[in-house]
Amino acid sequence: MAARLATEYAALTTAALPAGESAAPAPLPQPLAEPEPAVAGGDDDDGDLDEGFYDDAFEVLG
Amino acid sequence: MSAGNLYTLSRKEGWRRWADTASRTRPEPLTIAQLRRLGEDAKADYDDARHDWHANFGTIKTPQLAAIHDQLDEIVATNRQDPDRVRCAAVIDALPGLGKTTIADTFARDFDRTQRRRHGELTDAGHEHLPVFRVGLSSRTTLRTLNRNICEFYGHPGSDRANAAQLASFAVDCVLSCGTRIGIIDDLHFVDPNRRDGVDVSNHLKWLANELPVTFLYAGVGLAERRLFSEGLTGDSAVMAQTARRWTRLELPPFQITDKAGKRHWLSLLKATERQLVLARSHPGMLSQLEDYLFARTTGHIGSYITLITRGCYKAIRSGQELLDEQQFDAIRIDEAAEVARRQLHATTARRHRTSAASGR
Repeated sequence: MAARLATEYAALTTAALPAGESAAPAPLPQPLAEPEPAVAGGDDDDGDLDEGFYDDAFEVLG
Repeated sequence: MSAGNLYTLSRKEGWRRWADTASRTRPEPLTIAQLRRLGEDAKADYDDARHDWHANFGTIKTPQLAAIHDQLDEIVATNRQDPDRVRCAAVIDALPGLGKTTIADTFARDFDRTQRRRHGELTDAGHEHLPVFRVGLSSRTTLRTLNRNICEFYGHPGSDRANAAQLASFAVDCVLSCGTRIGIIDDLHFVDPNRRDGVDVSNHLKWLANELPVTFLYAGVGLAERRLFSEGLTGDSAVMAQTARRWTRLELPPFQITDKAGKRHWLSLLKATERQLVLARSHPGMLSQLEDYLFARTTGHIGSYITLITRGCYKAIRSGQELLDEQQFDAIRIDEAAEVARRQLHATTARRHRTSAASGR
């Protein structure tokens, strides 16, 4: 029963779409977010901004 | 600020606690939006954790620190002479604010950890194993106060009610019983070789070095200028000349930006610091783009620099600016020596500008 329903649903949705387009639902519009400033990266921060920037920084002893 | 964090390295309990405490964990950096979502108490706790972190984020391994640690390691590792032979001492002699105490303490802490890991927490005779003792001298240190300071580090019960000779005996017992191998004597500049009690203390340090199987590690300001180990002294000061033959003087220069290597090191220091900060608007280059300004403010003295950064971070958090910039730093006063140097530097720069403007007309 479930398999039949799934097949029918797929046929219904793909039939209405132009060729090559997906039947996946469109993402919901997101609320506008305040742009957040970059955060200085620590050792665990893999952000792009500081990549390589701190390579010549001195080591910090624990 | 927790009251549990208040302790001194001049007592064995404080030293042990410092040596055994694991590195602090860096608070997770939050964005401005995340900060705004924090409740009042959570924000206060987060800020407190950041203040604590910024005041204690670890010791930066500068080339100066690395060089002196290497030399200390060499001196201590080769001081394995039997008791009938004299061991050499190391002296870190530098201007204030360059990190003498930090360098001595961090070296000794590593040594302490290694020795206890290797030989255990108790000596063969069952005494507490204390590989390092540390005392700081004060003005007009006498023979008695020096001995008492050593006894107080070990918590000797007779520290308060003994004469100088008894205290010296107690100190020797403590050092030998606890298997101590390094003795840090900080602020040696308080020993005045021109005063009778200063010569007594210097003589006593020599006696301790003879009696104890310990490498003494001294730190002080302007010791060479005070002729604490000048060579060629005669008469009453001959003991100082002998000291000069036994002490290895280690200098600790400030940062300088007069050549490429110096500038590179200064920049590496700024980047190392910047990477540690936990401010919501911090970004790569925040400090390094202020390299000339920060040098002018601190004249390359790491002590002044760290104070400026710590106070700047406090202000940046309190004000909500969450960023360090020139305007923020301008509102912060640090040690008087740095402020005087800053005024002199500004006056020189202004004079240069006036001269070049006049010659350009």
